[in-house]
Amino acid sequence: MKLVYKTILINTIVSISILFIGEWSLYIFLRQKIEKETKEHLEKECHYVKEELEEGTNIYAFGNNVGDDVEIEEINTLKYNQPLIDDVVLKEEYEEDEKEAEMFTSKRIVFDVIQKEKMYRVSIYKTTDDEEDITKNLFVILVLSGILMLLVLVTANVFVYNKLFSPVYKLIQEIKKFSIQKQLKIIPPTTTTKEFAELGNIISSMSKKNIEDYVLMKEFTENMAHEIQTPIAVISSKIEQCMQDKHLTETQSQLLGDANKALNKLFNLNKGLSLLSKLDNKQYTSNQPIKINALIKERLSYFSDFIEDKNIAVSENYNSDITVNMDVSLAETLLDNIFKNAIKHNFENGKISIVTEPNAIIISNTGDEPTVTIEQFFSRFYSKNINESLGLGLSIIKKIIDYYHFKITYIYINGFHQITIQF
Amino acid sequence: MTHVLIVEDEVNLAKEISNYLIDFNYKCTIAHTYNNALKILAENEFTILLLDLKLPDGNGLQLIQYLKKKKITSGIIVLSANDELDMRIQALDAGADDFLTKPFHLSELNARLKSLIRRNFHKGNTEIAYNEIKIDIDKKQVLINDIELVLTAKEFKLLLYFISNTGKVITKEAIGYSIWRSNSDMDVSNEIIYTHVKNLRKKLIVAGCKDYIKSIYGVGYKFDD
Repeated sequence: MKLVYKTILINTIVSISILFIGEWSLYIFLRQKIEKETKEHLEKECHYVKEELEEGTNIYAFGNNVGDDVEIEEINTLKYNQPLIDDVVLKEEYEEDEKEAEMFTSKRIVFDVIQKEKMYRVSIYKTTDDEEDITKNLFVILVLSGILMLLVLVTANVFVYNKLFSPVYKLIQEIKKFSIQKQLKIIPPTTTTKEFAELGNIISSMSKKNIEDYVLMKEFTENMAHEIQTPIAVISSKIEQCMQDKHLTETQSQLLGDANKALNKLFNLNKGLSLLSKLDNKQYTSNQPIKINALIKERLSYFSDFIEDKNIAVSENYNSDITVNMDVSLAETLLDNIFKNAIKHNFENGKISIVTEPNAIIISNTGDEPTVTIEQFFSRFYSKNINESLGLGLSIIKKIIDYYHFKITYIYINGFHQITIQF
Repeated sequence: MTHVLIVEDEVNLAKEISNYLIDFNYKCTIAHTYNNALKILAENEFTILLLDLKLPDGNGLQLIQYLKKKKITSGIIVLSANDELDMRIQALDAGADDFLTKPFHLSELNARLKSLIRRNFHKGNTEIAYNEIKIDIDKKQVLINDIELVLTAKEFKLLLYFISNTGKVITKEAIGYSIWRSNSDMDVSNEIIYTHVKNLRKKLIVAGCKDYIKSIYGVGYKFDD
């Protein structure tokens, strides 16, 4: 839920509650006030009647004097020495049709009096309908005006809050657009709200710092990979020169050979990592249409000796002519690494099958059952055999696939490792 | 005598290149900086320039442009730590003849150097001879005591590589790189190299050639008298 609407919703709920409680209390208060007034009025009349009776006024003369409805009846026993006030429901008197007669409540005071040794019961009625009507109407008016006020408030709030929070929405849009690779820093929205201005500035300077760090890191990785080449070249040349010494013993020779082998590994590792870092930095932009079938045939030919060496049977089925937009060197690296894997982890007299389908290539090879999960399969440095070259090949494949938003799936089926790439 | 100018700021590397090449009767001069190279070039003529692109006081590409402007016909082999395709194309476009990525094997550099000299300075004569072995590079033909010996493409490359580096110990890694790796990037197993060297050696001996290929245990091979 948008902040604006959430704020308005909370505001509205609070307003409605206050309005409801307030108006309800007012209503109750008014009713109680009316009741109290009525009671006092009736008590006053009761007092007046009693006073008059003591002075000898004829009891039946009150019917008109008191002003309210008065009922007087003769009784035999006294019951209401103390006056009793209660509510009674009466029927409208002047309506001829009984059914249409409205019912209305009235307050009544009942008290017994004695005059000239006769006992009378006096009931004085006072209707509170008018007052109650006014109270009810007042209540309705208050509720209606409250609702109206709320509507106006909500509408105004939507407008005001949207305007007030617009810098936040602008900032969110800016953050969404932010890409560290494009190196565009976040521009803070112009606002007079202090907190939003501060937020914008903080995020903007954070983005700037991120970009700076990113550039530094990128430069470091690139330089590192680059600078390491020269010392490797020096060591390599020294070893090679050392080997030329005619007085070398077999052991010394062997030591140099091992050092050279390790150095070669270091060089390959550096090359692989440098490629991965370049992919991470999205430094390959020179795409061109590449005919995959032709490229497969070309790259495969370079592996012929290795295929022959293991006596692997290769079957090629080009069912579709695929053209993909890619950087040439990346396309070559992708295929080379797939072939390298398919050969390296294959059996003697094994099989490799290459199939192209519309928009996909499927390369499968015989090999030992995998001992790792598919996730581990593509992770950096995974290698089946620790003595073999470091397993950067698969993660390079994955990186290139991700780089171009292709899809790669791997399964082990019927003794075959099967890699499918969908372009 | 072939005169080689090595423009390389890494003193140790320049020294080893020079040491290796001197054994093949090259005269080597070393320049460690761009300006040093300019000075030396003004006073001397060189058959070949080995050129590092990243120099402390300048760019190797500028030096190539300078040579082309001055119409100096030296062959140029770029030695770069940067193996980007872009860089390669830039260097070759500027007029470099070959491009070698660091680190490289000295035997590989030597083979490339010889190949460049043959291409540039012995036009029409691409024959090499080593005792009873004669190789015609253009025709891809090998004669042993004037009798043709049929070799596979890899064996031919291998023989050429050996003959370019006679008397030197050549590592398996160098052979692997030169014959296979430069294309396939595959870790070349010792078995493959062994098989190919064994086949070449057998063919040479059967053809009546002296057994020049010596195995150096744990390291590689040596082609020597």
